[in-house]
Amino acid sequence: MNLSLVLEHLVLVLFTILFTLLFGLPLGIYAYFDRRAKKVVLWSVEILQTIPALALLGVIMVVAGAGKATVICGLTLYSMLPVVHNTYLGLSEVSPAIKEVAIGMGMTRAYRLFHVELPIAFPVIFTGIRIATVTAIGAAVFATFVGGGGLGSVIYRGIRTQNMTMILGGTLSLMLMAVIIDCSMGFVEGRLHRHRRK
Amino acid sequence: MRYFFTSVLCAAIVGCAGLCLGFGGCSKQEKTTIIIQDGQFSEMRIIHHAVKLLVESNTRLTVDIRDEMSPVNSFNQLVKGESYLMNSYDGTVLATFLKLDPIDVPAGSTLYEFVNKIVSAKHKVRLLDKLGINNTYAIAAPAAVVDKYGLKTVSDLVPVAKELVFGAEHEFFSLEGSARFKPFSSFYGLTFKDTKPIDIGLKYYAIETGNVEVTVTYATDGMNRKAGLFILQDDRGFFPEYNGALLVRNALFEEVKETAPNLESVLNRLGGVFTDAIMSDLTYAVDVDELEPAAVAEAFLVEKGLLH
Amino acid sequence: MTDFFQMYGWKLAEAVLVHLYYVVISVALAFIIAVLMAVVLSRLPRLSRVILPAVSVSQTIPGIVFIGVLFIFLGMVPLTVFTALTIYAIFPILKNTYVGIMEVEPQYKEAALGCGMSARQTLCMVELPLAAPAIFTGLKMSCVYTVSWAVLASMIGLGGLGEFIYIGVSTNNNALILAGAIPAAVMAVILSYCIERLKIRSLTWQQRREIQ
Repeated sequence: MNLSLVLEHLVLVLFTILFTLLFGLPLGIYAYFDRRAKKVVLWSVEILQTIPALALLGVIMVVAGAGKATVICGLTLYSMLPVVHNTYLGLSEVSPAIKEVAIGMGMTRAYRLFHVELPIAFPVIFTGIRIATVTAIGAAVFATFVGGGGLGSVIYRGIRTQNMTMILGGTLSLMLMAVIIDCSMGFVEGRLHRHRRK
Repeated sequence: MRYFFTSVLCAAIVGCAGLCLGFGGCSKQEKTTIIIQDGQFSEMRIIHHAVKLLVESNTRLTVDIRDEMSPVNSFNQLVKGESYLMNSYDGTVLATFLKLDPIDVPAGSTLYEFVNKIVSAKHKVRLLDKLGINNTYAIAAPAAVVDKYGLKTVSDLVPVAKELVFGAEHEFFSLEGSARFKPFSSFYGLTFKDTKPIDIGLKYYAIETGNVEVTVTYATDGMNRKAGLFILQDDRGFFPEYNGALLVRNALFEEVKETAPNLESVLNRLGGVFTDAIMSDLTYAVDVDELEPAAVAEAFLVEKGLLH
Repeated sequence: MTDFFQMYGWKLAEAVLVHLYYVVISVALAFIIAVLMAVVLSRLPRLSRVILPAVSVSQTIPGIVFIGVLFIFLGMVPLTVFTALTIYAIFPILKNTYVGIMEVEPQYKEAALGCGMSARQTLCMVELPLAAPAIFTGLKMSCVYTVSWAVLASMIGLGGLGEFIYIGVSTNNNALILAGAIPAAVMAVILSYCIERLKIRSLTWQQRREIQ
């Protein structure tokens, strides 16, 4: 029973990250392309981050009903900041010399983006994805308040029935999950950065 | 590396498609499965499992119990047609779902009858036979407080309330609705030393540690016994009844009449088999003795001869 | 709308103040602890390899567990909230300060040494000022997070804006959720703006030119 809840939790996080990438990457790229939009985009994802998770999920729940879709939607909004921010940051940190070389070689704008700028910016973007993932694992606990299942429901039921094993079991699995994912993504990140430095 | 973005994009699209299929799949369930959104309290979970056991052993239907949700959310799912039935209470339907008041109930009609008429016309759902439990709100205090002040009824609190801290879940402090703190305290003329809205999960800790001395609880909750709470009699009858009953969509029996023409009578076999004391024992078994709700429900049904 | 403010207006104003009180005290405590810890750790990099991950793991404990367990030990007092929020708020400041100090280029430290500065002078007059922008970034993050975590105070009956959010979520009332969420978001934005101003004032002329 516990394992299925861990999986459920992971599925919530996985979909959250997929959607975050789906919306976050284009937003970050857009902020990089359009200097005027940059402020608005970065500012709005920052505002999203200031809304308490419980409130964000609560409002979406009242509009969209309870369940996993609401949780994924809320968590996606919540993990947007690191991805958008790091995508923008990574892209704008690409050295001007390289960009000019790419232009000089006659590459089109899209070709430059996908074959030069994004690959170079990727380690920084990956750091953003890592932060977003770990945050999402923690924030997904609130899913239980809006009927989304996951480890939050074990923890919360444990608290309600004063069952220490349940609380600790839930909390430790959650922490373990966060640490394992964080470490393995950190490992990948380290290699990416080393690769970049070469 | 440069293929990474293409693959991320593909993965995301596949993911979306999968998710859509998943959700689409939910709504297009075959009529041989009954979906129930589980409740957050052991009582509801036990009743849902009893329904599952009873229906699966007496009809060809299968019952799928999904994630737990708050009552309002479950109700919305039910009305939308995403789920088929849920355990609820006539008082909850009246106050929480219909946003009405006990004073709206016309003379000569019981709360149960009134609620059933309105909710059936308005939301196309109705209550089946009463299960026999009255899980109403109850004002309770731990033994130490009860002994010290010699409390038996809520009215006994009136002279001593100013020395006591009242704590309950946030819902009870909402300023809208009738079975709430403000109407309650002005009805009895109670002025507490302090009031603490607290998470329902931490309420019992707060009582055990003496941070909260008087609280509101549910009459059939097994945690009352664990926390050593005494229920003070609602001597002036402030709280409405909360009769437990299964809430089903009106169309349910029509939709499954091919597979299970006897579904309604099977579900109504649960009518009146519970009492407050029995339910309190059952929830105690789940919340304190840590038994699975399914096992508790099964043992109970076997004992009552409803399941072999 | 006017009905809403007549009904909840005073309560809301009080909740905003209580919320702000929790945030300011906890972040201030966290700031002191985190900067001290960062200074110590920057002198003992080996220790930091153990401490930093340990503190970061503590961030993954869900708030309801943390505050619930603290509540059992400390009871229903503001101290419980301060302890929980402070511990959560330490990490961003600690991490940023530590990185900020470690990234001070050795040439400046050597110059300080050459001028005959003591270790304490080097720290206070060279390292910390150069790390200031990073420290303020950490402080800003902590503030924003703490405003959102302070919602948990209402879990243990201690009020704040979380009370509105909680009642709203449990009775499906969007107006109440928003009445809690909007002031919280505004508070976070204002605090983060103030810290951003402080950060810009703390920059050296060189750093300022780099930004421009």
